[in-house]
Amino acid sequence: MKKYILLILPAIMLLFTACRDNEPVQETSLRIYLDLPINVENPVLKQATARVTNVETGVTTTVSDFRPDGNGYTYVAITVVPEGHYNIDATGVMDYGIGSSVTTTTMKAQASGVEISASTAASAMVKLFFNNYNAEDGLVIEEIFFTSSTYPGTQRPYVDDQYLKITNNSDRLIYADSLAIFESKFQPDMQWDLNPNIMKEAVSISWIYIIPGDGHSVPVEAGESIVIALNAKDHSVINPNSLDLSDAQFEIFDINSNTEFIDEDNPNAVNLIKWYSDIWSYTVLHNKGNKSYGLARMRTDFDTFVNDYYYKFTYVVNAEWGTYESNGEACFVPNSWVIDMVNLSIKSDWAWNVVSPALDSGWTYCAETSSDRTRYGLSVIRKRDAGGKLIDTNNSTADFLPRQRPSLAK
Amino acid sequence: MRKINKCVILLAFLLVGLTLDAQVTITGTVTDKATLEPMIGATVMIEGHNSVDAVTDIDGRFTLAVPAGKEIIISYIGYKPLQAKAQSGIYYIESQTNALGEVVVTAQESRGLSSASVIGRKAMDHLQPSSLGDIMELIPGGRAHDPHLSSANVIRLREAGGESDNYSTSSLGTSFVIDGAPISTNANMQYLSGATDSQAGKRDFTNQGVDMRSIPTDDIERIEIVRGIASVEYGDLTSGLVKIERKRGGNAITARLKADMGSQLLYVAKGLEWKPSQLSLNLNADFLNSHNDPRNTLENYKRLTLSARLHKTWKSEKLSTSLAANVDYTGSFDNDKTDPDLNDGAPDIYKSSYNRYALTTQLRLKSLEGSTSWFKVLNATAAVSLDNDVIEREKLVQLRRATIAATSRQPGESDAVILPYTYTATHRVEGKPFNAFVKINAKFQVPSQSVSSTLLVGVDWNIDKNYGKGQVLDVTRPLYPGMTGRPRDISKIPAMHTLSIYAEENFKATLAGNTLEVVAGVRASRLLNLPTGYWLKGHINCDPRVNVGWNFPRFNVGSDVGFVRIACGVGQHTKMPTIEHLYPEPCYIDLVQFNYYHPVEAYKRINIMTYVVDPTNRDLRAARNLKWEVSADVDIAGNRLSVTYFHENMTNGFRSVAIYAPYDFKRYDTSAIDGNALTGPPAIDGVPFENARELVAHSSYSNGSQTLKKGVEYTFASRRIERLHTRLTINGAWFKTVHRNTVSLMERPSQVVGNEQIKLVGIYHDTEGYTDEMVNTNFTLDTDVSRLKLGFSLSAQCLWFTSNQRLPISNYPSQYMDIDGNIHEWVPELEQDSYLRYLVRNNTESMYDLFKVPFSMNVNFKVTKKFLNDHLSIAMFCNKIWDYTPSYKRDGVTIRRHVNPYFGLEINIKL
Repeated sequence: MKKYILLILPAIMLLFTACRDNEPVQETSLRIYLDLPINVENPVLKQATARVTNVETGVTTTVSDFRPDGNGYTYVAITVVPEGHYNIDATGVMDYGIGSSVTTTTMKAQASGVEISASTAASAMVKLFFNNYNAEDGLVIEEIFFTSSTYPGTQRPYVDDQYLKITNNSDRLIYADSLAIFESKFQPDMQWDLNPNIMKEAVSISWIYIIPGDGHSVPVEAGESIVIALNAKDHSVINPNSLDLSDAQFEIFDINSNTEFIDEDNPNAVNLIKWYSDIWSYTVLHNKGNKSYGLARMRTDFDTFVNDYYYKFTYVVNAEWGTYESNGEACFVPNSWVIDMVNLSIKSDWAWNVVSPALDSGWTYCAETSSDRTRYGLSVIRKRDAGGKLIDTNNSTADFLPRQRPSLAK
Repeated sequence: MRKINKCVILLAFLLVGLTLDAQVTITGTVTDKATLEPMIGATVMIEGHNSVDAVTDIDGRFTLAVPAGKEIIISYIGYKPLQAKAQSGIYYIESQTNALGEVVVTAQESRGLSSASVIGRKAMDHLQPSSLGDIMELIPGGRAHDPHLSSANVIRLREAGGESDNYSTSSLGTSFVIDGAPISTNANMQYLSGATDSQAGKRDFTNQGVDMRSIPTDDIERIEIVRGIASVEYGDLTSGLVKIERKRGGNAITARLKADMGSQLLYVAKGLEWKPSQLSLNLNADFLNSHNDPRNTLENYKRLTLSARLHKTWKSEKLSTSLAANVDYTGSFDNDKTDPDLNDGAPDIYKSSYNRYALTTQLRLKSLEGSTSWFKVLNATAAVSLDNDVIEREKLVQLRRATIAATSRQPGESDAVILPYTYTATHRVEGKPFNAFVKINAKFQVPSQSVSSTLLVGVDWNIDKNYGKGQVLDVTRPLYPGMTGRPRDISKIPAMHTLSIYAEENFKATLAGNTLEVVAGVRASRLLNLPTGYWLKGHINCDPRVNVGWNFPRFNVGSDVGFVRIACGVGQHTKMPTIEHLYPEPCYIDLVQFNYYHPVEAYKRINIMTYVVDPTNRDLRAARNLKWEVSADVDIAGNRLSVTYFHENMTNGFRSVAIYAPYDFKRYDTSAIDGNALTGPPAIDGVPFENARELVAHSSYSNGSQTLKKGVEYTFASRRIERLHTRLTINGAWFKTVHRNTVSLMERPSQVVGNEQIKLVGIYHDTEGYTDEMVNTNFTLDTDVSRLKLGFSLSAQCLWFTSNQRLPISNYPSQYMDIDGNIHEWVPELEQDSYLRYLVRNNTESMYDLFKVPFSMNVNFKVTKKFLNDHLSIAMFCNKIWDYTPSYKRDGVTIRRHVNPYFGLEINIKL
């Protein structure tokens, strides 16, 4: 583990207070401009909100008093924030004319790792181009190797070699600092009648990890990828069927003092920061692919997240032997923070999608059936278009190639 | 003593009341015509008298002065009254239901005061069982089940639901006594430590009592299953008593060959009897081979039993002395193995063998001096048994992920073993339970003509010890990776001694044609050889038990006779903890403090902090079950109905509970170690660390399980309808059982908030609770055409319903423990806390819904036919030959049920 990561870990929770107490940070005013698309007629922006999140502290400031500025295609608001690196995420609703009718659409815009300091100008300025809701952040999940491998001969499972590959699908440099990777709470093979059903607004999660960084620690060049391994080592030494993940930049390391659930910490891979999990032992991806996985830009700090982004729900289970109501609890990630989502399922058992269709309206798979042993060693990989770009239409059925040889296989 | 004084006073009073005319004094003995056993407490009346003139004693004897020319009438409940000439000699009376030669193929309700089922040889022949477990079909509440011989079969009397280890005191507390010697399972420690697989789990019956698979039925003459309040002669039980008497005498060679859908059984026996010298020897052997799935020969259960039983009686003028000596071997073998051809040659083997060698001797001295002697019988039993039990597990282990083994037996810091990813592991369990049992008791009777008063006093001493090695494995290559236990030599555990004394008065008197019967006794037992500190050390558990019966005068129904008896009883029953309960394995709590990974295997290092926790609960009590029951027994013209309402409450059954506590350790920061500079594992000294604390649980035995049983048991047996050669038996039960925890239980939430699992433990006063209910009736029509040597029966087994309902429990803890081990009261505001809210459980109202399975019926058919002058008999059974198992709806979902017939065939040869 790189040295600075250890510092980041407490920093995320402590730095905000520590800074304020010990070395006062200078505050600066920030002017946020929202530019509407120029290809629409008579746009009117409503309910515009920008959430300005300090990457180092996770402290979020919400700005909502946007007023038109100039020709009606630009809105502006002013706020005061401490110096630092910020992720800015703005949402709004735009009414615009198409012919004689007026249409409403949801808009969003994002900027990551924006440096705001008093020295840059008397008043810092950020210009955001408002786009449709489904506009791409640029970081997408290119591949999920969730099935893991089996030992040769005995075909017994080996689970430690799972990985996710995240790729910058834009034409510019993107920082993956504070990017969150999470697993859905619900499973596609068990359709529950949830109350409340918050799927339209948020994804209920089983676990969430954050990529550490100070805003510019994890640059991902256009077209480049980062690999998050469950265990970043050369597994092929142990199991010839497995993969060499020793070059993975990140790994999911679960601190556990229990000898039964010990995890290996490869010093060459950066550990993700664990925010929440509903399983105490260790994290693995569902090896049949009965969960969904997503990326998000967290717009809040850890303490607020675990306190406020939590809900209780009831659900009705229609089991073979009867129907009953049960209670559950989960943390959730608002849909507006999600930048990519991939639904997985067991092909024969799919019953529903566990996230909003706005995030992913399809699903992909490796296992044909629940007991399909041929799934081991297979991966799901995103398709590329003629220009080499990854296809992301928010429909994993169309966007992904199921049952692929993992890209990191020798 | 006070009781005896009272009897003497009463006796004196009655003696004074007798008119002493010059008459003939006769001494007679009343005997059952079928069994030739003495009838104790039969009433004798002189013709024309309205009240009872004499009651028979323990030997069936009476002495009575009868006016010349008068006859006497002898009565006994359930027997045809006998009117005969008054003269000294033996009077034979005949059962109303069981005329001589009558075939009884069902369980009969015992004539005793406590509710008990008696199963005779003929019933077993007709049932065609493979093991004692199959017999349970016959008792009220029983139903025929397909044999499950690939897992341990434990008994569950008067119980609905509750198939959980936490409620196994019920089966542990049922005593099995074979020819006077109990089978002790107190030293059974045959379990694979750390096992998580079903091969091991389903065959583990540690602390669950006797595995009924290992008891064959062919050499049994009679089984009495005492469901109610047992005599104080029998101890170390809470729930019931299974008394088995094996065959004695005879000169035949018998053989039985049985095959059913899953098993084959061969039984051979030879009896040798020298009548003039009153000597007999019985030899028999039994072999059972069963497959859970006939297509899979690699999973099987085998049983081999051998028995030799010698019996000799000497008679002098005053004394009849009999000596019995039994030598027994029981082998019970489970095999479960994966076909190596389907497993790439990798071994995956489970083998369990249970070898029990037992020697039982019994001496019985019986006074022949008649009513003048106070001393009647002295019984002395001495039994020893030694088991050689081995579980062998071998498996190719292939780790799913990096795993370590903590091997240190000492508290403190040590390095863990980093396991290779592939290795072949073996794990053995060697147990040598030893049991010695000595019992001496004597019966005394107050000489009397009109009351029967018998006093039983006795003492028994039981020793249990295990001479085995226990778990035998290489801890650096564990078969169950992640196991936290360490092997210990179980032969070092002290022996467990239980000493008990008891006294019981059996009193029978008649009052104006009514007969009062009282059996009242008390049993006191204590554990010896316990180390100091145990609550049980020096503690005497007293079990008072009383059964009272009232027989109303017999009455005439047309030309037939009727009897009515009501009875009630109350009694305390005690089961001492087992050796494993008293001396559990030490718990090892291992905390990872230094975790360094390096791509070079030899440079990895994991250091752990080990705490050794003694989980012994020195406050552990004996489990106690308080029973009471009321019963009515009506017999009209040989048609008999017995109904019992019972209530049993055991609030302190044994339970394994998790106990959390904080443990300190260091958490080293290994990030500064330069992996490239290493030439071996990194040194720990100088590596920075912070002090950390973790909440970890160990398990310990408590008295935390309640089993509350109530219900009704009934048996109706008609007289055989002569024209149809057919008899109807109806038996069944309503059982309602509540299982719940009675001690607060600790639970730690599984969620991780931030980097680590939530460091809080909830303490909940109620966690578990179920009410199970079931009502069943078995209608059995059995036909015995003696002319054709043919017997067949049709049994319609109706299960009216079974139901299960969870008891409401609070979602909130009553208290919680923080990381420092401090206990805090729970207040509602805490639910808002980001961490504490995970202590609130998520049960909903619908979890307490009643889950009811409606009516189903199975029809079983059995037939036996004798050939060749009874030398050959062929029998077959088909269970579930027809069934009515309708689909039913639950919450709009249709649930379909399927039943498959099960059949078998057997040949019996008797030469």
